[in-house]
Amino acid sequence: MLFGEIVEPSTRALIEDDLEEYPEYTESVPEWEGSSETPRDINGLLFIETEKIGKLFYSCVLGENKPLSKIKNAGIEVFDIGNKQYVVIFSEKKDFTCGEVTELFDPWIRKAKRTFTITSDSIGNYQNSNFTEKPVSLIRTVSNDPSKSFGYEKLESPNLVSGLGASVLSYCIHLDLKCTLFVLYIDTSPLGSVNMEPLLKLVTKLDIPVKHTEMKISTSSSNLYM
Amino acid sequence: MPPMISLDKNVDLSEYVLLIPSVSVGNVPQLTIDLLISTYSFKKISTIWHPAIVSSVGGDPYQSDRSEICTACELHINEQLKVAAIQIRSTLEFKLAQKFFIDLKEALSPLKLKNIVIVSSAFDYELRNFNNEKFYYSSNEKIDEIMETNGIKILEPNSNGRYCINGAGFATKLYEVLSTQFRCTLLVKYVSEGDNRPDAFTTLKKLFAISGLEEKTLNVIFPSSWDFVFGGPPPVGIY
Repeated sequence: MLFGEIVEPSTRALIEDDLEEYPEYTESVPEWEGSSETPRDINGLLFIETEKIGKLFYSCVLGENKPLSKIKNAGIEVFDIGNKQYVVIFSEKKDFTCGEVTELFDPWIRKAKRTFTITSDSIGNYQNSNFTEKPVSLIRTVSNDPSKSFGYEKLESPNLVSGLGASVLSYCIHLDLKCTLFVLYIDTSPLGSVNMEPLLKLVTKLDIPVKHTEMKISTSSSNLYM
Repeated sequence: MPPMISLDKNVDLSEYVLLIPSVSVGNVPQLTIDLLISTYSFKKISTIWHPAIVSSVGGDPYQSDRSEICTACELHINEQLKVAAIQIRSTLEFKLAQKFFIDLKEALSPLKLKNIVIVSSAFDYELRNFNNEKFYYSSNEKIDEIMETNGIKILEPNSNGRYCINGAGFATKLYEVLSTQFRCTLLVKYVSEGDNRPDAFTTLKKLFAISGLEEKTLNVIFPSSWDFVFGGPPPVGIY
């Protein structure tokens, strides 16, 4: 550091927001591709997000299955996986916030007999005083319907989950509807049979048929080799 | 879409003081509300839904053995104190923030609140002139005397009449919107980032002093979620 150099703390990011004027809200219009109609009956509705979970679903659950519909400007694809079960994959945040995406699916959520969400996070973010050695991956749940937790341990405070899954669960709690969120804590290594095993077991418990496929193992996106 | 706050018909919040924390430096306002809720056994009466709120969910932050789910924005009350507190744990989506303020104002209108106190913190190094305590306020109520007694100085607006408080999050904008309809006070504490638990404690004491509420003589109870302020235990592998 040079004498006189101004070092801005990371939270300086807050300052920009404070001083900027918030814009007037303009509602985004969803660009549906395919049917935007809510199905007549929904036995199960599953929201998927994060690259790792999406990758596994595309290769092990959806395979060659074409999406029923898409919302292009929301990063959403909806798949019909049979038996009146639907999978919503949220790939990237575009014109819509997670809250707005959740409200787009309001009629689906209200109609669904059971709603689940699956997300993932780095195991480094998982806080638990009992772990001195963390496993490769583990699943925790946040649910207002204990009968649909399938025996997974609940997520302990102060761990928090954010994203579309958290938004859907919050919305369900607000509407007094049942919903269960599963969070897969996983290390940074590429997807493989070991770290994905808990997730595949979970998918099977949700009565979703799993296809046996081979996944290409990609190298780590980081150039840092230990 | 569902109402932002869905209250039971039997809940009457007329003449309640409502505390709203702004997400700001060191999360001091959130820590203050946490202390208030755990020490005075506030009860949750509603979740607050709005697409502007960046959702987050987790276990009960106050008692880890309970199965209650914590969401990003919730309304808690204490009937004896006649205090209501919104606990907001995440920031607002930039494009929806203004809509959130207006919708919140509409949602609070029928509740007939006594007044609203917006609690905020700001960057310590931005404060040029200060004496012992770093509390500042702005209010549309005549509370100069009680503020002076408690060593809280008035915030001075810029030459354009607006408040510029670096690090205070949405506090000033929310104050601008709510003060048009409610008796409203903005309380700001200038803090440094680090272990902000003492800041939360002094903010709580200050809130009680200015709200004319009787302070509890019992020890302050820290919520169980504060156990990991500095993260979990280190992995054994590093030794």
